[in-house]
Amino acid sequence: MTLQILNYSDKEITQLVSEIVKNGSAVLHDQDLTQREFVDACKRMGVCDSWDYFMNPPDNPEISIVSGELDENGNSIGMFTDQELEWHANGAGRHDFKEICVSLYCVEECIDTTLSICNQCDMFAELSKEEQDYYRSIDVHLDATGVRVWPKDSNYKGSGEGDFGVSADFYKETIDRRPLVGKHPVDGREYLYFLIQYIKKAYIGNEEINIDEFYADLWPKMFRSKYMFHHVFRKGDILFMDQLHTIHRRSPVKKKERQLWRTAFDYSNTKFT
Amino acid sequence: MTTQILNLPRTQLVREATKTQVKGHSIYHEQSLSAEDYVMLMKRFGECETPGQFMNPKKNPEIFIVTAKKDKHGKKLGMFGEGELGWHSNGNSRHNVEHILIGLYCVEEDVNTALSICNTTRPFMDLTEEQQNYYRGVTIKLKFKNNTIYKLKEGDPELEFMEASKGSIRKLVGKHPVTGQEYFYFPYHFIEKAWHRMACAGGQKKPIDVNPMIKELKQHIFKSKYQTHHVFHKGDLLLMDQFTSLHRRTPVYDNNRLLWRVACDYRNII
Repeated sequence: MTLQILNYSDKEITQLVSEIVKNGSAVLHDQDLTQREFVDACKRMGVCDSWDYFMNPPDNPEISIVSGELDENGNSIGMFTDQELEWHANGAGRHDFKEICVSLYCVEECIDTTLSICNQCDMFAELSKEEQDYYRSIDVHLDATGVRVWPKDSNYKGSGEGDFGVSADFYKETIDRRPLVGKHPVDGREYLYFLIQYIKKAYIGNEEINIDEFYADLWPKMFRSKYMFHHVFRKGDILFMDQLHTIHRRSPVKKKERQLWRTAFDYSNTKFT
Repeated sequence: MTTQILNLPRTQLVREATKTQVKGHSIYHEQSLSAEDYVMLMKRFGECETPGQFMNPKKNPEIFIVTAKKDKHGKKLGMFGEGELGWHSNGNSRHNVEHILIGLYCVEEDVNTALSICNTTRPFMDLTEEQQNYYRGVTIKLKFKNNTIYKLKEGDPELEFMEASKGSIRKLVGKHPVTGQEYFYFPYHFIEKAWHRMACAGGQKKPIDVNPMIKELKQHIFKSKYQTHHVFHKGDLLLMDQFTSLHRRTPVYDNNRLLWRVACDYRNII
């Protein structure tokens, strides 16, 4: 019997978080969890986001249902339906956010759907010193307005995602820029925060730089196969992803019944020694 | 510049071959290979298959074109089409599987298509000794059946190629010819019949109902923990040992996706 996360000791929870931060992600297999148990497991690591959108079960509002399934009235039971999803991360559009870990627990699998994760920390570490210094000098302005993580040529209109609070006003942000290169609050390693689409402006000092050239320069440096890890969810898998060290995308969903439970949390309950 | 496998000295290439045999696969990124380079590389491992089929370019007959792309007359340019491919390995219905190293080199990528690889040694190792002994006594009969691992239309040259193999009878549990590791040979779509030879009954052969056996083994072998997944990007080279791994593919969304496949043995590297 595989060790169940619910039975982890504090030390094992700390080891798991360390693995997530070190590798950008971690996968546990053969887990058997109810919604409440899943939330409880995540809360051992930190404080979870909680919402009351259409995809949040009222009894467990920390969970967001991710599914392509429709109810009897033709409404989506979860977010993102069956679309391909472009590179994104939790908290995209915000300049400061706490919930830097996302977990996804597989309730119903689709073995033809792949989640790809790109490690922004590994990428930065491999740059030359000159390049690192250059990117450290850049600040970026993020804005989720008008951003769609599904492909531009898709007919998908959203199943309620358009109602999500994404604006700086909604989050009462007092800053409108952040460094392109951040330092992770847990391990102190630097990562290059390349939130495609969400980065609307980039600056060196007070001088705005050409955003098209910015994207053209960074895209081929970031999205290289060697920085990527791919996962096909099987029932009982839990995937944890650090949202500063990594960015992720998803291929289209073939089996609409595929269902994941998603939580987003910080690491504030983890006992780092 | 990423290390190019083509330039590795023999000692290192031996290590890469061993790693592939034990783990079931190895991945090399950002390789820059012409068709000639690629064939030269695979020949450093062993002798390559050259069946002279429609998907083998005349200039480099060791290469199998894997693509869903068709020419202007609607004729297939490569094998395996665009549909999902079920779990399989090279030569599943052949009597002798000699070319147990497969190379897949990505020329054109499709970021929505993934190849899943399942290690076949670890599921065997994780069984109890009693279970291992039971499965060691099982013999299977294999034959390609259309509409199982994939669907081919009548008149498709690929169907003719696949159906040409007469099938084979072999043990469910094999011993790797190089490493000696035991592995499950379980391309279940091909399994038609099975028998168990009971040592306690003087080696008597008893037929097994294959469907319950397949159901039970599918649950055990295709566990998430035994699997690795890869999305090919241009320049990726994947090596897979066909005894210590099985693989499947998700559907192809961009028919321009193009891989070069080579199947060889290990005779030049052992």
